[in-house]
Amino acid sequence: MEIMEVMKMISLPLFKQNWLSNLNLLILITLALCVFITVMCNVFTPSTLDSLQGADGGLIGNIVGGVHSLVEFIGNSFFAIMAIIFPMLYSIVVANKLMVEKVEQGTMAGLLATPTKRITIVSTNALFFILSLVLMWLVVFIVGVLAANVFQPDALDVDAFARLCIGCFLYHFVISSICFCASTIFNTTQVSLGLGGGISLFFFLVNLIMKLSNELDFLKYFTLNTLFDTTALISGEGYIENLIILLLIGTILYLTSIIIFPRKDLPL
Amino acid sequence: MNIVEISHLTRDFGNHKGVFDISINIKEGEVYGFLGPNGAGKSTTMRHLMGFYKCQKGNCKIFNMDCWPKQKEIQKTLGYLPGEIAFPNDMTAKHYINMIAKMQGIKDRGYQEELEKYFEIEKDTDISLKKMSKGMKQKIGIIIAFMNKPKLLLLDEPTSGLDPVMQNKFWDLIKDYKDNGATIFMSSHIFEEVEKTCDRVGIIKNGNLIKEVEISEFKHSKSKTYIIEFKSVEEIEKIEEIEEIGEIGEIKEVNKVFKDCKVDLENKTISVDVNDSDINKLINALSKCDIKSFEEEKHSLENYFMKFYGSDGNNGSDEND
Repeated sequence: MEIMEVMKMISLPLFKQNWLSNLNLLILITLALCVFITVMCNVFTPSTLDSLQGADGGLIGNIVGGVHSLVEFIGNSFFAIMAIIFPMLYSIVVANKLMVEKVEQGTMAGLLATPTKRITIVSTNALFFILSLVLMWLVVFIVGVLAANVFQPDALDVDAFARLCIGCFLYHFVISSICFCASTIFNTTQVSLGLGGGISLFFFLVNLIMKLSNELDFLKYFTLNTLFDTTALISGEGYIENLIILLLIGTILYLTSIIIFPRKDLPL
Repeated sequence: MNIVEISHLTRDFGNHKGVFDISINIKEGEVYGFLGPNGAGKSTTMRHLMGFYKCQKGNCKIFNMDCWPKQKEIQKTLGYLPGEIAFPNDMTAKHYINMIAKMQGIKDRGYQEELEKYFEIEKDTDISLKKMSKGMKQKIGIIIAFMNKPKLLLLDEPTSGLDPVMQNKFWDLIKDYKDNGATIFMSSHIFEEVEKTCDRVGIIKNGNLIKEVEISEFKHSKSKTYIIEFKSVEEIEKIEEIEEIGEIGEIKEVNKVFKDCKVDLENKTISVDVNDSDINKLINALSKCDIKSFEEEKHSLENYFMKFYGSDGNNGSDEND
């Protein structure tokens, strides 16, 4: 019975349309991530490791410093930049397409003129958004494991890599929830993009700047990326709390969107 | 029974925009026209009825249910055509209609296909909505509004973008629905459309409902106005029923046999209001004169409406399309 109640919150035709409308971008971003992870597995060999450790100081040295294994290399490079920025762009674009763009352009009127409830529409969009990110990271995980097996059999710590993927997914779960919430609350793409995208990019930039110097360590309190701690995830210790916090923030923001949308005035 | 009840609806967007203290009741089976210049508040009123906006003051009810909390209950038997139709750019018409039909819970799709044939777009539904012209989009919007055979239709400028043939087809469709007992609330600024389809008209301006009139008052008026142009001024003087003739250029109101007879010497015309029962008297009076033309001035809604439109200049009927 409960499953039936939940099913009523989802509109299948809309759910299907969400996949069709956003499939191109989802494939593009996932493909880019897969290419990067494959190249990483290919590039990282004991000899490159030596040469990287030889290069002292500088941004690259700070980023890849202290690398002893394939998963650390992936954690410090792929999960520091590509895995952050590409899905972030996906979230910013898709969040806007899902809600605010429909309100601004007026296509939401067509959906709302049917007996489909507002809460159903916002829940369906949120569910699609979250599931698309799950799918993205599932594919990246599988491709990463396969690529490592092809290029360097047994060199990858699969458990640590899985923790990284889950952690990164939860990080993007929060980023997507921020963008989605902005997209639900505001009625113009400009404001929604500025706020949702702005906050997300701010987190990324602060994290990048922080790495330039140890003196900038206090900046960790100003970025969400602190909760996506690759070192802790790889070592497998002290990461659970971070992931729970990420899960909580994301859930709260998605629920906020679902509560707000049925109650707001829509300038359609 | 009232299907639509709007009482004291107010929504202030600031800057004198919005709607102010609007009350409208629409009876079952009635076709109600909502006339007004652009930006008068027609669409805003409709959006309240659709539950897109909460009422700031007053309330809106449809089928005796409040439009905000019960919007989905109401929309099960309601068809809505938005004023500014927007469709997703990444779908074909067919996909979009299918999606909306599913969301409306329509199982029998025969009627939808019938409508597609009626509006002659059954062959064009594979075209992407992005590439469709305004008129085609309008037809798709109309099909979507009608395809669940609604009991109440809210149509916001329904014929904008349609060619004259399609406009007529649309008006016929409205007539069919009316004959089957549907209630229709449509906004428009096309007088011909309103006169042809509506039973009653509300005139809205600057967010205020200024007048409600029955269309039948125009259609079945007992008195008509005729404009008669004469070959020369002397011809007018031949009419014995008109006693005083003024100087050239003067417009004189003469009341003898014909009420409200206006003589315009410069243009050599008279305009005269005649009851249908007195029409023979007019013909008799004119029989001695040399007349250039004789025409009936329609007691049209447009003339009536212009009185309200015109009072502050810039909002004439230039938007008629």
